[in-house]
Amino acid sequence: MGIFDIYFLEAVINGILLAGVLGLLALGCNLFFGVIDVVWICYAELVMAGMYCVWWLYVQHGVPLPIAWLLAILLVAAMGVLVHVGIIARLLDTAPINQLLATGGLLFFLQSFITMLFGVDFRNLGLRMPLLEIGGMFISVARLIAFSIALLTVAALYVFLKRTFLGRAIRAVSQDREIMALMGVDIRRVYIVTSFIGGGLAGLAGCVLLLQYDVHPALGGTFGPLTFMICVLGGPGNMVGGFFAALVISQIIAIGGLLAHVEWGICRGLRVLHCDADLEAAGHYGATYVNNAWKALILAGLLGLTALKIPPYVNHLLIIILLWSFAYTSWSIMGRFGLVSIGHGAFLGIGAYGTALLWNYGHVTPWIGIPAALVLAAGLAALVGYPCFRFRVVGHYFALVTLALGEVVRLSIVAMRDYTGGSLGMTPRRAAEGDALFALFVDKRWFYLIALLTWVGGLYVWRRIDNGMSRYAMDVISEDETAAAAIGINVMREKMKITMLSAVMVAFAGALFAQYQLYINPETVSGINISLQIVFAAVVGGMFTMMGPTVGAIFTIMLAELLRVGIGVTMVGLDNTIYGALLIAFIIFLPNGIVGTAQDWFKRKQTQF
Amino acid sequence: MLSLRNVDAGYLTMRALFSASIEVKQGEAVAVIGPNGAGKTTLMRVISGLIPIQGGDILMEGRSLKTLKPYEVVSTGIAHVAEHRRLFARMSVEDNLAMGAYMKTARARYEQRLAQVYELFPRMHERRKQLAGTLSGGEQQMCAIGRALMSGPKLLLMDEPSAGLAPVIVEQVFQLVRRIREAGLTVLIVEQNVNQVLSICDRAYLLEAGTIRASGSAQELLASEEIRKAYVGL
Repeated sequence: MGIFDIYFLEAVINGILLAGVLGLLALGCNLFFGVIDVVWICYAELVMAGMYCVWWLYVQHGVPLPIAWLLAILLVAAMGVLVHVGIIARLLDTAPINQLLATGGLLFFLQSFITMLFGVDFRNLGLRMPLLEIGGMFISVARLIAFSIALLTVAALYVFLKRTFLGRAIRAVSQDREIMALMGVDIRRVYIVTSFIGGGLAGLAGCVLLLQYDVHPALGGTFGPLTFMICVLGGPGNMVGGFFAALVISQIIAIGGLLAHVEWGICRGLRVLHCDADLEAAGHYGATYVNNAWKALILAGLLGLTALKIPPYVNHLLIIILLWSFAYTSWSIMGRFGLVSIGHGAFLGIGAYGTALLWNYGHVTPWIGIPAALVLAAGLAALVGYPCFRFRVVGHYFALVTLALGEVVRLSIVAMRDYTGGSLGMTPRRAAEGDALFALFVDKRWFYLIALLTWVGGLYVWRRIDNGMSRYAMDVISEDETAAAAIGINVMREKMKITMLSAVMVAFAGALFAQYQLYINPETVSGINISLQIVFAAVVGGMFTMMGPTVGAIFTIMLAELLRVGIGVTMVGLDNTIYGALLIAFIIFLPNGIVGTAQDWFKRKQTQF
Repeated sequence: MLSLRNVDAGYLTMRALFSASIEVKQGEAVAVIGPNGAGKTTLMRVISGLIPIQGGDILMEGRSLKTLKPYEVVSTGIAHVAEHRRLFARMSVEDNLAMGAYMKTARARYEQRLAQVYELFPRMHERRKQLAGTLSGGEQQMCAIGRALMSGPKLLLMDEPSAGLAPVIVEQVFQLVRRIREAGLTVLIVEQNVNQVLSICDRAYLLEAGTIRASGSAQELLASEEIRKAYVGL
């Protein structure tokens, strides 16, 4: 056996063992997502909480490892119940996207809360797990342990779900909640028990994970998307399938990692998932409350600001708000029709990096670079959109496919570190003297004007769609695709149109960001946090009204700034902890967003008199 | 056994049932007939506690159901075969039947009741491993009735058992109801298929626009000129 063959075999075996860890990670997630049809986007953060709990007990307080494990499992199980009672139970009867968003808020919350408690340092158990040497190959004992635990757990869960009354009730509850009550089942209890088990599985995964990985607050961002993809690939709710999916992914990661960078490995894995996920899931005009005269006046006022000498900080805030408003509006163009993307960071990244790379390495002016990046974004949107729409990937599944898309783009940027600077980010090259216009480097005051025009342009597009036939078509499609097709709507074309438009607009926002900030980083343009932030702001403001996303931008940016300036320095993480908590509260109490709720309130007032 | 006393019920913005009074005695089969939108399904749902009762009271063997949650109503001995069958389509026939016996008291006699249901519906035994969603319409109705019987009810509520089924199958479904009666169960059945339902029931109520318009023995109602014209089409 040649030396390469041994390495190859070692990679394969380690890949199989890695599958144990990933399979275990996906198990609880599968129980929520696949079996009771509730999406916990913060699942990996719960795993992380379990890891911290073990670390805290074992390293900080000398609690024996088995007891630390048990306590961590119980803690996370209790957290699971809390998440259900506090958040999910309140949202069961609303649009499923709200569950996703509220638990997304919890993701922010847990991330920053843990940062607050333990800081951003990498922690580990300080154990050196031995390596087994078999025929010249080195096999990790930690992975061996993880693999055995995972196998046992899958078997136990399988039997539980198939054979027991409670297990069967857990499977039935997602299919018809009302009828369950007629069977004499207290559904609330079923949900709570499921949340307890799912949380416990997350805790167990955390215990096992800590044997071989360091824990840090951003850990969930790495494992989260991977976990969801395994669930989708394995067939949601299919425990055994999930295990095989983990096997496939980990092989790709392990062998891919042998041949190239680790990120490429994961990236390839996600891409396979992607294709598979595709196969798997096989009225009135916008109410105007501000009349035209008012609009003109406000616009004139906003334009007038350019002439005034406003402090740079205020100018900066205004630009940021306008650019994000534009990005959020672009997102809501498709989001309002049920095409909820939680991977728009992909397009933001393509806009930003596309333009910057062309400028730095190809000496292409942004005047050409930006359109080129936009074409690329449209192409990518088409590439992902077509199979999704062809195989009717909708709802949660569509959201998860876009999540994977965001990860693929982020990891691709990181992997091309020779050009993009990897995780360190990159800076567009400074323009030579007198070349400012060619390089589109403009004074901040002028940039304000560009941002303003972009924003107005975004609103115009929103309006055009709102008043056009496409809007009716999309409304019908989001209600019932078959019925839409039956009355002669070209479902594929309408969906593609709206998706590509939204992608191109968001990419444009990304390009402007790169030009404005003069620094970009894969986390800040394509990370899951950014993609979620886009969805949040649009939902918080109200995605069904023209001004909603803008109000969302103002609200979230001002809130983040206030929290950052007010308390950010005194206690790292506290600002985002509050931010996350507020987001959760928003989704629960104002599901229609600020503007939507205000409009409903006015309408009710009017009908009262 | 079951008595509704001046029950009001409805949904957020509209009331669907106005002061309805219905009596079902032990061993009887009682039908509630009426046109679309008369409030028949609302009547069933309010008995099961799926929608809150807004006025009046419902007594099951003297015990008020007013404050009970839907899953508690089942434990008083009422089983509800919902409109459109509502099976757990992605679970096997046997799993569906098992869900019917979810209650602690029913679980103890699970094996015995399962055998009874299979005896009543041999077809269900043949298909016990099949996914419920792949059954034919008539078989699905059998499965739904079987599932309701698994809780060992005293009273069976049936909401439009003939809906969406071919005439031949409808015939079979009513035969089933007759056999269930013979097994000693009390049945309250809501139907639009007036002619056939009256032929298997003892008494009937006519529900129109949320109000009980007429009641009497099945023969009396069948003989009534008004009902013959409006519902039987003769």
